[in-house]
Amino acid sequence: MSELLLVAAELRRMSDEKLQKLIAERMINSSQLVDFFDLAEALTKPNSISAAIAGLPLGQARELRLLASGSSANPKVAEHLANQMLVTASPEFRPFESTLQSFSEFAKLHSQNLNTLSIVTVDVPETPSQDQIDRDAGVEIFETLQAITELVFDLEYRFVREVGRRNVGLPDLKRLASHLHKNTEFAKQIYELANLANLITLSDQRWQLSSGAELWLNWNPTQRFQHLSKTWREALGDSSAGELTASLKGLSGVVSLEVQLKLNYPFADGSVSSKIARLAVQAALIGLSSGGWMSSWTQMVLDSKFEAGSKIAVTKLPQPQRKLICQADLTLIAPGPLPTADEIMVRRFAETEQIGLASTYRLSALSVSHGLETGLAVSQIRELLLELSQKPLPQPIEYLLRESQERFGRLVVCNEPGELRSYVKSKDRVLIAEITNEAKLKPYSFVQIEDGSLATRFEADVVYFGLRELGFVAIRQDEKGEVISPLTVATKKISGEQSISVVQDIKRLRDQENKLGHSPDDEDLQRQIQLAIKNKATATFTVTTSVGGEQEFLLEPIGLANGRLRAKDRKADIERTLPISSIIRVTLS
Amino acid sequence: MGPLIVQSDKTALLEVDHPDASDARHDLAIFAELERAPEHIHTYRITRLGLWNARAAGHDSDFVLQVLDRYAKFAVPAGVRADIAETMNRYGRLSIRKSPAGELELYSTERAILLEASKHRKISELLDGPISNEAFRIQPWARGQLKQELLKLGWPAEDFAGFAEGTPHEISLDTSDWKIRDYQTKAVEKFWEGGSGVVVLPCGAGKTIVGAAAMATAKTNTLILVTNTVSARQWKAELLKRTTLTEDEIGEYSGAMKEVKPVTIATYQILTTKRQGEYAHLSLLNANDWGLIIYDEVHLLPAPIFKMTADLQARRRLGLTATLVREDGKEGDVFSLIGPKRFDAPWKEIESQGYIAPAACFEVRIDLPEDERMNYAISSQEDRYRIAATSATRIPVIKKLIRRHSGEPTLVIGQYLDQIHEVSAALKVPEITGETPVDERERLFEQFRTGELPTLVVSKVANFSVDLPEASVAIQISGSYGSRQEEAQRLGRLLRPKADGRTASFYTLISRDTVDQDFAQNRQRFLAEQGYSYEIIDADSI
Repeated sequence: MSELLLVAAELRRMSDEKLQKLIAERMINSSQLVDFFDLAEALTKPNSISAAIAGLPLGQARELRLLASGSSANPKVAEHLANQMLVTASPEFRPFESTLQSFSEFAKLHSQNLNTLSIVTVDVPETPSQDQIDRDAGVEIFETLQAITELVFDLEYRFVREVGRRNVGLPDLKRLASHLHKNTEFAKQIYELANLANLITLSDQRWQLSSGAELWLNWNPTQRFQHLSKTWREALGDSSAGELTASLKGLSGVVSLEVQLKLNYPFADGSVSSKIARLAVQAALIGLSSGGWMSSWTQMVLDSKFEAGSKIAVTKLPQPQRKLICQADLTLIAPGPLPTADEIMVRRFAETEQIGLASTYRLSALSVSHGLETGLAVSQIRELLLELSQKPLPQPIEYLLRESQERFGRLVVCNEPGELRSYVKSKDRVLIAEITNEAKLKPYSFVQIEDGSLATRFEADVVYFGLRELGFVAIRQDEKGEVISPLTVATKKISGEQSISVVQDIKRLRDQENKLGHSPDDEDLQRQIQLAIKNKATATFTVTTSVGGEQEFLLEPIGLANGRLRAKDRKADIERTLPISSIIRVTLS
Repeated sequence: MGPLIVQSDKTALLEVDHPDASDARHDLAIFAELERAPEHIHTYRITRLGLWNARAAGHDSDFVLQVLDRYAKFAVPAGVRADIAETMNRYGRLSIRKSPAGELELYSTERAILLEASKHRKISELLDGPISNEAFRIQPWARGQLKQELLKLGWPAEDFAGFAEGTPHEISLDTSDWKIRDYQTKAVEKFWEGGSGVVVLPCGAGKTIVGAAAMATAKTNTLILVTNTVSARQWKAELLKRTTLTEDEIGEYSGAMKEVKPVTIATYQILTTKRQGEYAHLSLLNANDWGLIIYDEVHLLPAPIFKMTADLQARRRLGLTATLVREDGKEGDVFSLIGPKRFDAPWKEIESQGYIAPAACFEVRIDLPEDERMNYAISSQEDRYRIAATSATRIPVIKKLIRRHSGEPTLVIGQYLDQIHEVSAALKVPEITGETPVDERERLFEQFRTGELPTLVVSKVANFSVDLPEASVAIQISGSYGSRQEEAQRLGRLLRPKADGRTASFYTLISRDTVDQDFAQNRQRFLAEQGYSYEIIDADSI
């Protein structure tokens, strides 16, 4: 049996609770997994295994070395390794082949550590005060909370495509980075963190908001920090956190998390795939460390006392103030963090220029239209600005608000009932002519249907974002002619995403498993066959015979073509071709 | 809570209404550059150059961090703290000095740094082998380039090699009927302390006086580089008026005449004129033992002059400008070859002191008629700005605005010659373009100054260096796309304080829903950052 099937089988046998911990510790995004094979595939990828080994604390690393050399194991520690799906637990604790391969690579790279697996010596940098560390960490937390919020709004305002495999395009990273006053590496880390925290997800080759993003926007800073620290702690894992906590006991004064991680994780290196490297980066991002030093609340997070930890952490955040400076050049400057409710409101009708301790937003025809699309009225925008600025609004802002109101809905993107095409409509025929003539919109292949109406085969969302990208102030309307709010579009349930809850993801895997066991549909069937082909595995195929009976074949699938399966029948020493429509069940050996 | 918000990208935002803002501004000026100065929040940037300047002036990173902590509203981000300490620590570990034999050498007691620098591909070409373990000989012509490259490498060299004194020449300010302003004196002091560098002052704030005062401090042969002949003559007239210099001591080196005197005013154009592939007038730079070179409108410095300037590092260099904004992004070259910004004053601050006129800015939105809109909509991207900016609908609006400001000296400024001819004919007023002979230009400008001509239609030749003190209305009918510095320079034509203290009016005509509107937004950025706001009015409402 191939390792993939073996792992899938082990996963099936695991309890829900163990699965939940496994998914968190191995940092797997479960929202897109369909069945246990998907999970097994994600867990057996070389990068994933390397990251897991690199994240082993000292005790477990020693244990794995013993198991790799065939020695007897400490069952309690080996159990932890089995829970991380690095070793199989039955009939005895034994590393998976892929684990052994990755481990031998580590052995080459870390020969010294592997031989001794003892405490490594590290240089201890100059010690700052705990107060300074906490102050700096507070700024880090604040910046990360802001960055994630910015990412959420960016995905609401724009169409961000998946580039390569699970990556973000450089222009999108650069835009986010520039709004955050940070480099693109930071922007990338924010995508990773938001993804890990199940706030964003990939769907239809596009980065989209998960339903968690909606919660995020409604949470206060305490709740946001709590969610991130919980995500981090789950990724670290109970056993790992336990070993780390034990090593911290007895230490006095300020503690270097960086040093402790190096001491406790012998295989951890700086490589990006290393779990500990990622956790160290994320610890810095969410203010569990600053400059490598542990914040006052990190121990509480390690102990899973998230509420207590976040209570202390938020006292170090810059305090919000209800103040906004409205300028005649249409910029809005918040000289300090705005209260969450105000910030969310401002961002509905103003685009971000820069986010930081002080933030700059800009009003434009596009941004005000966005606010109106979400259901705001111009009077509400004006009132909020007046309230926050405590001054009359500069004339250009008043002019823009008035003009935006007058022109709202001048350009509409919509679908007609029962049609696959999208339409762009406007009473202004010159505007339609301009869109038709716009070189950058040529790929949409607009066709003039009638005066003031263009049709395209692209989805309305794609057209809407495409028009806005070029400065055309379009809105979307549903089949009843109602304005579609970008808020509801962005946070709608995404196909494939069931829930941000890992528990529910696991339930989905179980449901799928049950479904496969009894009446697999074509898609599942083909998926099983493809898995067998990919892994050169033998499988038992149950087919219906022409007289209505069932017959089983033990086959080695070779390929699928023209609705037929080609496979080797070793027993009969022939090649068989079976119509897929006749296959009713596949059982992988 | 303090007035300063230090951001993680090393910008510092100062709330100007805060009681401690004035003190904070004073301390920040030591190591941070003022980037934007609108009404309520000023933005400073903590640059490597600024930190190294502070280091050169004897301040260390503890001082900088103390200043930031003292005025900070929120904790200063850890990354900023670390970066300041690291950056300041790099300054002065390399130095340029003269050996006893008079040769230039790159010196350091830290061999590792010296080797790192000397092995760098671009730097090694500028050196002429080691002198000792602690020094490398510098190619005689390479001092400027070496400083530039070392700066890029992040090891700025302290330059102890000094400046050529130049041939002494007595120059003093003749202040019998005028008084130098405080900010002008301060600007000269800052420049002189720094040795070389740029002074940034608003148009109309008296940059020529700063130049004259610098000359009076240097008391040496001086070369002044200006944008055009009209400007050269204005400089000459101003120097004759403000200093003890006489007609015989000031030469003009331009297309029209080639005089080299103790004070010589040359145009950028003549210096960059090529004959048979060679710069024909390059010898001017070494024709006299100049102790001071002044670059007027340094933001316009053409690329070849940068190259020439690299060879002039032994001479003191003063750059003057109102807008250190280059659309080609070469601000960095100005810093390394002319010198860092030594003095800067927010426009609104000078305005509040009454040294420049207050100005009201208006963006006039014009609806294009249906046929013009359709023509615009079906045109190519390249033609769209021109179509929008030269719409015939502008002429009635210009006429209305002129009527509105009847009796006020008015400039109508455009970009396209056809449009200028058309507007000039429609208004029945003279025009000045690049095609207008210099003498004719000077005559028309003079008639405008005296009030004989109430309105002039001008092309971009009037963007810079033309002193029209009484002009109080400008109508910008088209421009160089989104150029921020052009916008500022055009407003600058109106900023000389008026005898009756009236506010200047600056109108920009914009075709609604066209690229014109987008460009206008970009053009206005610099002035908005200086605190000017544009009122938007509909053409119909005039």
